[in-house]
Amino acid sequence: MFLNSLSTYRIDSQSNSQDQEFIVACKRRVIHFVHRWVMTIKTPVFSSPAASQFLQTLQEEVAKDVEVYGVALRDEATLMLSVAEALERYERDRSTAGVSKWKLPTSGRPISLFGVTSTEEPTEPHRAIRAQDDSKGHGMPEVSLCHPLMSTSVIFRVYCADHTYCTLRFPLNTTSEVIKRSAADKLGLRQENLLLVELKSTGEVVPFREREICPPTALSLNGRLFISNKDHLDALMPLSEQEGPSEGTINQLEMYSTRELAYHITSHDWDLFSAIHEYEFLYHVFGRDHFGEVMCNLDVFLRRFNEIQYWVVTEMCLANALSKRSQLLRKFIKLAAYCKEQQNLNAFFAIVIGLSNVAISRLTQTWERLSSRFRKMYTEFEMLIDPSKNHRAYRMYVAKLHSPILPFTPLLMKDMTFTHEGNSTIIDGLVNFEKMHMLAETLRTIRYCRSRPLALEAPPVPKNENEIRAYVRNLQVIDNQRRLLTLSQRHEPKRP
Amino acid sequence: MPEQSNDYRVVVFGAGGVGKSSLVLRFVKGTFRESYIPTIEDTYRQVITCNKNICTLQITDTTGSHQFPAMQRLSISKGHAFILVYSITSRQSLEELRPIWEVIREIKGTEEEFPIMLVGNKCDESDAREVQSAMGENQAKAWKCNFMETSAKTNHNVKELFQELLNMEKNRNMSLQLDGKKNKSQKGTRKIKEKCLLM
Ligand SMILES: Nc1nc2c(ncn2[C@@H]2O[C@H](COP(=O)(O)OP(=O)(O)OP(=O)(O)O)[C@@H](O)[C@H]2O)c(=O)[nH]1
Ligand SMILES: [Mg+2]
Repeated sequence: MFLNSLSTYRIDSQSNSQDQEFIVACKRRVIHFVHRWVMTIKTPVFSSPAASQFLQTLQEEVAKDVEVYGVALRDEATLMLSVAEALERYERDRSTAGVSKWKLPTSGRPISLFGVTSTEEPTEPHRAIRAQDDSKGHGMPEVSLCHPLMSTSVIFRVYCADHTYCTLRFPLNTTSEVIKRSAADKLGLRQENLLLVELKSTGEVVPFREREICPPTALSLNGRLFISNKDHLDALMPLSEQEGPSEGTINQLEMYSTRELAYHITSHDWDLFSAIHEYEFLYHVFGRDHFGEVMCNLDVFLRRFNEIQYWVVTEMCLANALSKRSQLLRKFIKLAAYCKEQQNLNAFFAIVIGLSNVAISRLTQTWERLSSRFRKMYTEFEMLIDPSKNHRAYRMYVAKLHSPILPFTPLLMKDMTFTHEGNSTIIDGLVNFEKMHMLAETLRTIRYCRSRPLALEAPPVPKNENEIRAYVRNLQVIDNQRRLLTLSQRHEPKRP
Repeated sequence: MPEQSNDYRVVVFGAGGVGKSSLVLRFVKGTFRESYIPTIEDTYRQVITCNKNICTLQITDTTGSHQFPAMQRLSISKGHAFILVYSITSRQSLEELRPIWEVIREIKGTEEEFPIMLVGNKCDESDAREVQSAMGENQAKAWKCNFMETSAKTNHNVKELFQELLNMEKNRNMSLQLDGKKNKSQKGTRKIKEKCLLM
């Protein structure tokens, strides 16, 4: 892109035939574009050496050209000057504030990497990995977190085949390869032929590529990091804790009002959503090993979707008595309704997709006990999540809403991935701006969704507020579909 | 396979830098390093004999910093036996063990007996000694646990420490020896309680 702009800018050097007006117009366009671009995204440009190099070159050329073209480029020169000032300011701030661009909260655990998470620290602040900069302009709340020791790092475990482990702490932007080497060193393994892999609760093994960034936040719900010899991957067995809980939390859930649950789920989800930098979406779509940039906040938010989804399935499957199960089903439908009302469509989708999981939908006796009012409600929800015609129902619905919105994020990801995979980034050596426009369109949607702060009405007389808040942040789930189905079949065996 | 009930889990606690990792590494790998790399939490496995069968000793090496109270409680509730380490060169490090001992008592309750060893490490550094052996012994009496002075650096009493801990377990009959030839060094471990020699 830099080359593109520079060659357009240097149009005079290539074709002498064109008239001066045209040349000046081209130059103007480049400068205006660059100015807009830089001022819109700031930090990611400034922190890239290539970009700031480009800005310097351009500024020097503009300064020279002002002498040639005079007043015609005067305004543009001023624009470039303001860009240069912003860059300077950024570098000054950075040198005083240290290089940390990303921060972690006190817990030091962005996600329950340790499997069993504590409910002993209910007051811990939200667990978003905060993107520090650029948040002010978007109406996002400033949250102060950050234990000085914890900032910028993530703590996680790496297991061996025999289930011994070491606990490591690394900056968020650490690559898979560095983690692998350090774990091998600590665990006393020979370096050759080792792989860092995710071992899912199902036993499935997914290797990490060496250059992938921050593997710990990329894990599936009950997935764990393992290190193993390439030839012995088959021998890896999941930890017993990866199975997830064996008892549901229905007794707790019965005590919590559905409205309060929804309130805390949405506030937490909003914190996580607000912490995502717009660029993380791009990093994610282009691939974990593409830019070498951190995308942990988005990881955590996408994970949240699965967490809620499997929490619903898990709780339903772990409710043994039929009457309890149908009560719980009602509660989840109500919860979905509240989330929809609060415009938390991400959680809404997660809950309804959870309920439509075959392990739940096959529980005929449970569904039969539902009153017609609830059945009607659920049918409407199903229509809203209906994926046909490219999610037309949902798209129509969300288009009418006003910010703040928690959008159904997996769909945004899908849109961007489609755009990315269906269009090449460079055509004939030029950046494919068509594609960039399409990607930007989705980013604008996201920006709109968070253009106003969340202002939920707090539920009246919260009784066990801290307890509920801790609960919604520590959802324990079974994410192994086979196990869920087995449980479901035990409750309601298939009728002959 | 792992996580079986015949796993015997030992957890090592103590202030930062007293030599917990050094003791564990000396015991498991026979190595010692001068450099100090703070631990967050690591585990190790060692095969031992238990009631004439082979089983695994799982050792959890914990952090000396106070940043992870939840992790501490979790490892206590999972542990069968505990090693509380201080450094004889720091009185403070002995004092810092009290809250840990109290949490163990709280979580494990008082009904059942569970093996605890109080360990004064770095006994090779006699010039810098701040905690006299008698003091450690008294503390051990008050806490109703056994006591030993060790040096991970010179490999003094390290193996003995773990054997003694296993001997304290009443519910199982465990030995570090693998051959199971009944050469249980009961006598050997009794002797060890004598003071650490000057190096
Ligand atoms: N002289 C002497 N030094 C020791 C001994 N044991 C450990 N050290 C040194 O003490 C320092 C700390 O040892 P570690 O084993 O890392 O301490 P730790 O208790 O595991 O510390 P944390 O992991 O931070 O809780 C290292 O520099 C070791 O070399 C010992 O017996 N004698
Ligand atoms: Mg250590």
